[in-house]
Amino acid sequence: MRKYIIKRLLISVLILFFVSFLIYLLIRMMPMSFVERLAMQKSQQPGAKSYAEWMAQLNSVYGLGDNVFLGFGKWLFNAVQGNFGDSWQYNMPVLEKFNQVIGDSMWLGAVSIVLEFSIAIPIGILAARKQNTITDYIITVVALIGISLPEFFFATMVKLAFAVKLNWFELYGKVSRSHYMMSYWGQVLDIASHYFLPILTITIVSIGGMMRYTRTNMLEVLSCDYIRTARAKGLPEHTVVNRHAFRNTLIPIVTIFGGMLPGLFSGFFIIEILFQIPGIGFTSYQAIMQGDIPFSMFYMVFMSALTLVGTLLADILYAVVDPRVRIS
Amino acid sequence: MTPTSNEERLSLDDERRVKVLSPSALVFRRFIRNKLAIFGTVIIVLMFLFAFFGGLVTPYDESRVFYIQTDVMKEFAYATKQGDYRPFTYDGKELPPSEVGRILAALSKDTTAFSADGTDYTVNRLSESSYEIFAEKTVATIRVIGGNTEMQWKSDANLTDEQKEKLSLLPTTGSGFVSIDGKMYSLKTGAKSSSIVVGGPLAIFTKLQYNVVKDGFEPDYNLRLQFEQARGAKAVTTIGDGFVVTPDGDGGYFVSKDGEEYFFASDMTLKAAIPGAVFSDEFRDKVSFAIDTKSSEFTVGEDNYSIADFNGQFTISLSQSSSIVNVYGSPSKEHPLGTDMNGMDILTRLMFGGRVSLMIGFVAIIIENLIGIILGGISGFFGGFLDMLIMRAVDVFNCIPMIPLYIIIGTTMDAYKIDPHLRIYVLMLIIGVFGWPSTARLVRGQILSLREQEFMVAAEACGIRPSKRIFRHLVPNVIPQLIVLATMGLGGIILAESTLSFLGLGVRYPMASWGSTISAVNNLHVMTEYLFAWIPAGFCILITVLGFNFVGDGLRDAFDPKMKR
Repeated sequence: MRKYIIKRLLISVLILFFVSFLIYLLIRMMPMSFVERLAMQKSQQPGAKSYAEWMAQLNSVYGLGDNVFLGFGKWLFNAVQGNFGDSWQYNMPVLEKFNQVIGDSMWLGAVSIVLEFSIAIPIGILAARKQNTITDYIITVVALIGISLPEFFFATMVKLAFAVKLNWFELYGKVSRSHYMMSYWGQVLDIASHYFLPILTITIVSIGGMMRYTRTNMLEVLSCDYIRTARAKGLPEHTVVNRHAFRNTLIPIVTIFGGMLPGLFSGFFIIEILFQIPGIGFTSYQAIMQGDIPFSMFYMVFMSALTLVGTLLADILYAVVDPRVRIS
Repeated sequence: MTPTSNEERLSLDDERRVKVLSPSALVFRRFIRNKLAIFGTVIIVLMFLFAFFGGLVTPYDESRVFYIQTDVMKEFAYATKQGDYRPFTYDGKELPPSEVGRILAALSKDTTAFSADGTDYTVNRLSESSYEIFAEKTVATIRVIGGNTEMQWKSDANLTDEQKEKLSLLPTTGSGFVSIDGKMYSLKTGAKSSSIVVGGPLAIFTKLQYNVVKDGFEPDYNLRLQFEQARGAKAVTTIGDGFVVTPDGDGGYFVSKDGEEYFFASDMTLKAAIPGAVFSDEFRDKVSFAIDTKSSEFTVGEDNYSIADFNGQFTISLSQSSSIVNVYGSPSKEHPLGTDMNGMDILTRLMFGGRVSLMIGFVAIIIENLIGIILGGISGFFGGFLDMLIMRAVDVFNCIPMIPLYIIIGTTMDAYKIDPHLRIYVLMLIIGVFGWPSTARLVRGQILSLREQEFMVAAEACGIRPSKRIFRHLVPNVIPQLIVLATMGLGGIILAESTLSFLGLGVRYPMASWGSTISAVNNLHVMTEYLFAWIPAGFCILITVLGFNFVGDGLRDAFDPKMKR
């Protein structure tokens, strides 16, 4: 087991290396206009250096003057030391900005994952138990609609309904205007009310897939021989479902949960943009739009690393949870 | 039931015996029994008709802009009715605001003379609403003590010795006034003492506004004075220099010379809102009348004007019929779904947008599958180092976050100002090139188990070359799963494309796309007021993706009944 994990880890590092290089290549294609604009702005400050001097300095700091391989080497050398450079857009070290904004994304992610699992699993099991009935069909159709919903469209509808027509929540942002005059609990409630609509949207959009996954696994378990044995013994149906079937259904679900854990840090790109929640997704979107190479680069590599960790975690958890599938 | 028919049913002749359904017919049968799948198929067929056929049927072009004729109220002029006195200062005099206030206060109290700050003011009534103000300041008092005249100079007069010398001669001269350095000094003889004062006319205070008609002409103090004196007569009067004052009977006066109008004075000012506007006398009369009677509309000739009061400032607007872009026109007979922000027909845009979305989806999925089948096939068939290499490439591509990647590519395309048509092809290519790992994985997994089967041993024994063995013998066995994956994937690609277009980085104006149609909601007003501008586009995406998911789901069940759960 340990050998397997170490081998997988080493492969992941190798993959991450190539992913970073690929992303670096892509990002080097980004417009240079931002760098030029930055230099222009700085050169216009009183007593500043000339535009050409600034350009030269910026180029050398950000490694844009070197060829692609050398530039990547420089970036990698700094990155492995935990130095991802300074964000051009936010004028502070990338990691500092990341620390500032990651909390919001984590809250969004944590609450919506809990909601997603606590709603999707019971409904998925219900659909499996009532297979081929009207309940099952309705759940299947609703799940498919959830999968097919364009996030941005649904978010806009939610905003229209709850923020504009009903006026229960605010349209944008994380805090209201009078936030800093509130008491501690008032502030907490204020942020919670701003998080409500994003979390609602994320949950509804992502719940469909989870529901179907649970249903498929439950059906698989229910058709197993040991379930037939349990029924043949004359056990009551709820014991069969809750004790025998459900526990075995949990195996793939725990696995997928493990795979989703790193996703807590990845933010919700579209939702954060639409609700202007200052999480990692919205922050990176602005950085990318402004041609902020250090931040974009960090975000992309970070996301890739999270995906790798997620896959690894899912595989390891699968082996840990299910004793039948121990990898030699 | 007749015996013959029963016999017929039971008989097993050759014709009946061979009537076995082929696997594909079985799949088809299972598929059409699935109501959701049929529903999905109908949706997709309708969407295709809507997008590809609808685009041919619609009478409009993809980017035709529609205009509407409307009566637009254009601001034409501003009018002010003057209720206060305004000063016109005598040449070379200064009139600070504090002094103006003092004089206005005196005028309101009908005072004829008052003093302040060592200055004596005299108010001379010119007409019912105009006055000339004289200001005099004592610079010295003269006392005659025993035949000696003694001058007491006021310290605040700031006179030079030379001026004092000249002024001290004043009592001895007969005229009684002297002009020094442009200032008029005069002698005032009182009962006890005399004094020398400086000053004279200070300003004219009038309620009238002077609107100069003749270019470059500016009525001077003297003319104004004469005019103000003459206008009280309310009749045609000739004043100095051949100017003639003609009252218009409505509180206004024309001042002309040799038949040419020089200026016009009334208690109303008109200011043009559009350059080059000329106000006819009739227009002035009508405006003045409208203001007095508090009416909101009047007509001059064929033009309709409306007049609005903003705290004494009147805005006169001219109603003009003009052609404007039909921005967010409500749904009507000509435009069943209204028009968008550029005045284009939304229904037509949806049709063409559907073409773009479906085309991007199909081309991308074909690219994805081509790469996936080739790489997956090679990887699964040969195994070993090649397999390891390709699978690591799959891992690499698999963990790149897609939406941020598309956004980076979108901004890059923006920076290079890529043509909107070309963008669509680039999008197809990008989505296809980055989407192949899942196909490759599926193909590889299937081929790994298939290649050990007997038919492959037979194929190898026959000496068929590897490329044929992969693509003729192995890949066709994976086709069912590929079709399911592709159908489900199409929905995903349409979602990705519309998300990108929604962010303004995918399909660009003038090309239409469902996502970019919805992006109008970035304007909050559009989101709340013009639902027709974005809801239909959203449902187009939802329904199409749903249709592909239904079909994909149905196909999976039909291909593999064991999997039906």
